[in-house]
Amino acid sequence: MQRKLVFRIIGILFIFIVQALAQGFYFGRNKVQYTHFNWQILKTEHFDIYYYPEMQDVAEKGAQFAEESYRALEQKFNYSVTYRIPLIFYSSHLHFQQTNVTPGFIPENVGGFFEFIKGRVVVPGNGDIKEFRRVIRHELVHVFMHSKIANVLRRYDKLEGAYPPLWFVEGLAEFWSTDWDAQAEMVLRDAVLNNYVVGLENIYQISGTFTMYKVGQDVMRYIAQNYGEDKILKMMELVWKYPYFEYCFKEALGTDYEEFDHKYLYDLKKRYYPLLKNNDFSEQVCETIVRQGYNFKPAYYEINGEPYVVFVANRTGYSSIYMRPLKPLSLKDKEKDVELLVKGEASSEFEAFHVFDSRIDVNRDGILAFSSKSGETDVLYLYSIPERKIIARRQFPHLVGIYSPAWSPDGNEIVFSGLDFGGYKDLYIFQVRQKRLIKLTDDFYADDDPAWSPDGRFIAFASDRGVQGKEGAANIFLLDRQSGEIRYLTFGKEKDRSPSFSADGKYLAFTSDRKGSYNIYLITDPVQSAFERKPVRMFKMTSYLGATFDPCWTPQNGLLYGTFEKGYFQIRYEPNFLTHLTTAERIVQPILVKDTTRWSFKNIVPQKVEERKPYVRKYDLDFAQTQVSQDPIFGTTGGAQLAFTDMLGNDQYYLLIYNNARVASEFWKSFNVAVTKISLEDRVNWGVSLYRFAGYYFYPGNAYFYEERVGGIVTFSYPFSQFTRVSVSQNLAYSDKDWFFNKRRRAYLNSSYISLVNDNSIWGPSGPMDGQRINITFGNTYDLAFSNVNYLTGLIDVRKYFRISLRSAYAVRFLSLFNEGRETLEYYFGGSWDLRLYRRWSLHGKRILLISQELRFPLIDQLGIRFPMAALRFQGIRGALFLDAGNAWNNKFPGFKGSFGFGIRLNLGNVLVLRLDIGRKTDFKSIGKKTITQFFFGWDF
Amino acid sequence: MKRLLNILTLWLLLFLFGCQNPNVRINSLSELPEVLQAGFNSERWYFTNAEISPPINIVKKKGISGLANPFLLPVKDKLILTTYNGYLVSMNKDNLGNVANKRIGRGISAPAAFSRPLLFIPAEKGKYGLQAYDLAGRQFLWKKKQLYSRSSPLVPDQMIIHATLKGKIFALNKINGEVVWQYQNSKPIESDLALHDNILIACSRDGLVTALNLDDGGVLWRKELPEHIYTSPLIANDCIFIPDMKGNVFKLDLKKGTVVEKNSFNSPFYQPFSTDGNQLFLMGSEGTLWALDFNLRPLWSVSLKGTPTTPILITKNHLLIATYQKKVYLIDKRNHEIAQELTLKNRPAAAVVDEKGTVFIAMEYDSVLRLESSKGEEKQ
Repeated sequence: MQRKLVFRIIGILFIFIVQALAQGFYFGRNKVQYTHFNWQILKTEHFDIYYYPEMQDVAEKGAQFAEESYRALEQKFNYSVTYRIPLIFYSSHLHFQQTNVTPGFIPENVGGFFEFIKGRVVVPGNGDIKEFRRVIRHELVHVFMHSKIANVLRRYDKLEGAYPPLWFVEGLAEFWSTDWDAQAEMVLRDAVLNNYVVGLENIYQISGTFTMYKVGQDVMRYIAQNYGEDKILKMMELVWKYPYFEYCFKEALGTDYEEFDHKYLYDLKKRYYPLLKNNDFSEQVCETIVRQGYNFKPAYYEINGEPYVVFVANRTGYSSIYMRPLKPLSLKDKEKDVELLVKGEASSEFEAFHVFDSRIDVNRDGILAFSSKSGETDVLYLYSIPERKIIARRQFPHLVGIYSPAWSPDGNEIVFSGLDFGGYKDLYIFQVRQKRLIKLTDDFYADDDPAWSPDGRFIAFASDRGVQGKEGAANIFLLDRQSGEIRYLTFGKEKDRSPSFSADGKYLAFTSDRKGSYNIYLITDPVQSAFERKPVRMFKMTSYLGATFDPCWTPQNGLLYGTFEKGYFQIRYEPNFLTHLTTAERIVQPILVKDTTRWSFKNIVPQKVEERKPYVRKYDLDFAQTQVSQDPIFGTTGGAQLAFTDMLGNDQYYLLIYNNARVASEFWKSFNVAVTKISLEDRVNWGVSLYRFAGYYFYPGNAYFYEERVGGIVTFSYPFSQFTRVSVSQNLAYSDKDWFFNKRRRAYLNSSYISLVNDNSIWGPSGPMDGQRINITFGNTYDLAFSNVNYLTGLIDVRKYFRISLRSAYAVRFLSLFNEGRETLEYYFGGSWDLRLYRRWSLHGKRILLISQELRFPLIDQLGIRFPMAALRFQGIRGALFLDAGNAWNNKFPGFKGSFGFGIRLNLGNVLVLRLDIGRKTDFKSIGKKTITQFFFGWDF
Repeated sequence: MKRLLNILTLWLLLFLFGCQNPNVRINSLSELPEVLQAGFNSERWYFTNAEISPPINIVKKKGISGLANPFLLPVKDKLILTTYNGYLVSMNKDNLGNVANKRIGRGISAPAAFSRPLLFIPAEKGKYGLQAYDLAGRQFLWKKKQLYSRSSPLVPDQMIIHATLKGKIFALNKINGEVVWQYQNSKPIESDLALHDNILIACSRDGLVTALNLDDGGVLWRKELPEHIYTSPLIANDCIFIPDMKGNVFKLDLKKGTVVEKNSFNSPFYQPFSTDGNQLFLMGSEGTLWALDFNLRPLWSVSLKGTPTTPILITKNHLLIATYQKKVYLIDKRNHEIAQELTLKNRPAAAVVDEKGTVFIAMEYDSVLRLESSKGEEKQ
């Protein structure tokens, strides 16, 4: 059946506008531009740097880092990038998430990206200038690699070649931008010792994961060490020669993936297996408090003398705050006593908890202090555990980010690390009763993880202000609240983090990567060491095979901490933690003296700045696409679409041209054009389009006709939050419709629509698994001049997903559509996407009602078929049990048609989901005798 | 039917024209140089005893079928080159006109060598790894299947020396391509060989330097250098000069292979040494041009922009350097200053200076430029 073409075209047009306005048109979350940035451009020798004035200092440092990286990478790649590289900086990750350079949502763990169309590099600062530098270098490796490979292909006149796989691309970027650090060691060691490391032949199994990044980085290291770093360059220079990268790899190294894995994986075993002799996994020797999912940042709390642990975790797909009794789990424990306190990522109040970066704390009264992204900035929340509710909420005007709030012993003050608009991280104290904010530090250094001493006089924190901070070190410092003086407590080129005082103040535990991996260290009598110049007594308390971090004391000097083992983040507990002192390694520290050396990174020198100016929009072609299609009835259609955007992606222009003339004389009669502009710069997104659509159509209600429509459409979309938006559109068009049998009508059509959309769903392999999606749309179309057309349109589509288990859900959908009036459109109904087992679009009417229910569950986790020459693998095959009821009608509701059955879903590369439904029809009075099989594609509702 | 016949006729015409041998024919062989190799001599000096008078300007630009390999051969009044995408091209030097080209391979990564009247073309992909083309007879004399190479051949006397990616070094009869001797190196060879005084020097990327007797391919000595080498050796004053990828430069005794001198710089080297017999010249990938004495001590240096795309070409008084930053520099050897900095529209990929001081540059991705001192107008 041929859909009404104009509807499809307007749909395409609508998609142009509304998809850009709200990620996914019908539903979808919103990328909200909370902040209006006053963009500026800084031009250096090789870069055009886009920044806003509040972060000018960070941007100028970034410019210097970029030029330094450019010089270094020129030598690595034996190549120069000769186009001006656009670098777009944001001062914080919260601002970075608002970027329109990419339409997609940016998760918290994305540190920056390089996009291929305009070659833009987008990097956020987040208070840590060294990390900023590293990410700039990482992304520039991508720029150079991409440009070099394009150059190689072009030299040999190749349109395509063996573009490197993701492990190479990211592995190289990591290898040439950062040293092997404790985090890398943590990931690779765990993968090897828990037998889930894969070599290059099977690296697709971990594609896109952080483990892949680190395996890739280590593979590069291995190649450099055993074959020579020049071989990495050689692989890139061979991409023209072969269709697959493995051949380039083989020519460069003289070994294929299989042979390479044979040696490399063995090398990993030799490197890590010996550790098992003298070290244990903490799971084997300690109490496990939380195991399933990804669990972070434990905090201790007592209810009526009973100990509990409060922690941040992602156990279902939503990062949330949980609580559990502090009692050990057995290996088979299902953790049913984990209680959800605050659900995150499902509402605008609690959009993100910064699970990797921000600790939580609970005071004696059971008031939990935590921070969450809420709209434009982070908010400091106080949650009463006894009452199970939020009791206070605080946002600070100049602070974008809030991290690691910690209660003072008297319960009146909360110290935290705050990230300001300019991109600097300092310590702040919020006085709860007085509602006053005090800035404790005010400098260029990144201060983090504050913790109170039990007497409330000192605050321990991690900072890069030490003399080796420039090289990436972070040490523990003590701040005296009375004098304001800051003293070293640890000293060296390590990363020391997360200090925590014991209840009696005699011990300070912290995480450190000295010795190459994260472990817990202890300093006895820390205050005396720092302020009375007593020798520092430091001990390495843990030597577990899995990384250990985020220590938290209990009043009885037990220690809670996080650990990474078997690919998961878990929480452990050692009630007699201090017994380690008897066997712990004593760490020798240099004598701590007051150090006044201040370091800084240089800004780009003025002589290297070619120009500074406010940002002015210039547009480039992003893509151009042409298409030709052939239809047996309607003949040939050919057309093109082009998209132009500005550098920041805030302004977009689309041009659509096509023609479906059957003969040359009809060329202008069937000429179609649409020009659309979309603005995404501010919170209100808007679009305007002018169009002329004309051609021959067939529509069962209207038979065969020719219609010309010339008009314009304006659309506004206002997001209330990431999850909810309202959109209005106004369409004015002249319509001339000719049915050929002495029937022709003209109309000046006015269509006004309003939509309310809410979407906080999270998705599994074949469709949503949790949350809800709602779309309510109403509109009216009428003829301004001749009254030939006048109809109302309404749509209510509500879908809810109830999580049964980690991989199972019960989904419900209610859909109601109506069109009422003159020359209304009919809706088409039936098929795998709505009323299943009925032929696609076999039902139609001005009104539709549908109620669907579906149980979604995993069916086959992995299916492999091995042939002598090759193997096929299918993963994540899911099942469904469904029951649908609905109908389409014009005047009187004819009763429900229904269907029920069983379905199988297979996700192919996250691009396509194949669907097979088997079942029977019913009219709810009887069941059809025939079993029907329906095969199609598409995501679950 | 009529339409089909028209199409067939058109196709036949195209086929016949396409199959023409390149219109490269040299009439007066006696005026031709005997031999032209990348490096200008078998010692790989990159020196031509011509004079350039800066400033030079682009006087002519011509589009060709691809990007020229890193050395263009000025053969009498013709410019002959091969391209990365497998074309053999010739054109008139004076106006870059009369372009003839023929597809002879699928991937050519090293320049051809000329030994009157034959052109020896190495290839990295396609059916033949080495082809001998007779410029006078306008036909291929012989072809060798496979034997893929990234090295430019040497043509001493009646032999041609060809090194393959698999590490085989062949000495072939120039005229009929028969193997005179062959040697299997333990590592692949990807850079040009050098020859002096009957001693053939081959460098592999892994740092293995091998010296062979030209007469029979017998190994004279082997030396394993500590770091990897991207480029070719140069022979001068009975010594071999090699830079490596960690910034080290070595001077080895030609006959014994011992390291006589060593120095270090802080930049990887991707291009070889050049010399005029008085000084050594080398450019680091961070853009510093170094002039060294024959004991590898720096004499002077100049900072330039970009990493070099070709070896340094030396004339009587100037150095010509092309970089990835679309720059061509002329450096005056006498006062060590930049005599001219020319910015091109695209990156230069190959360059040559002929005996009259005319500069020819191949530019990405399909152009050849002719540059002269400023009497001519700049045309681009």
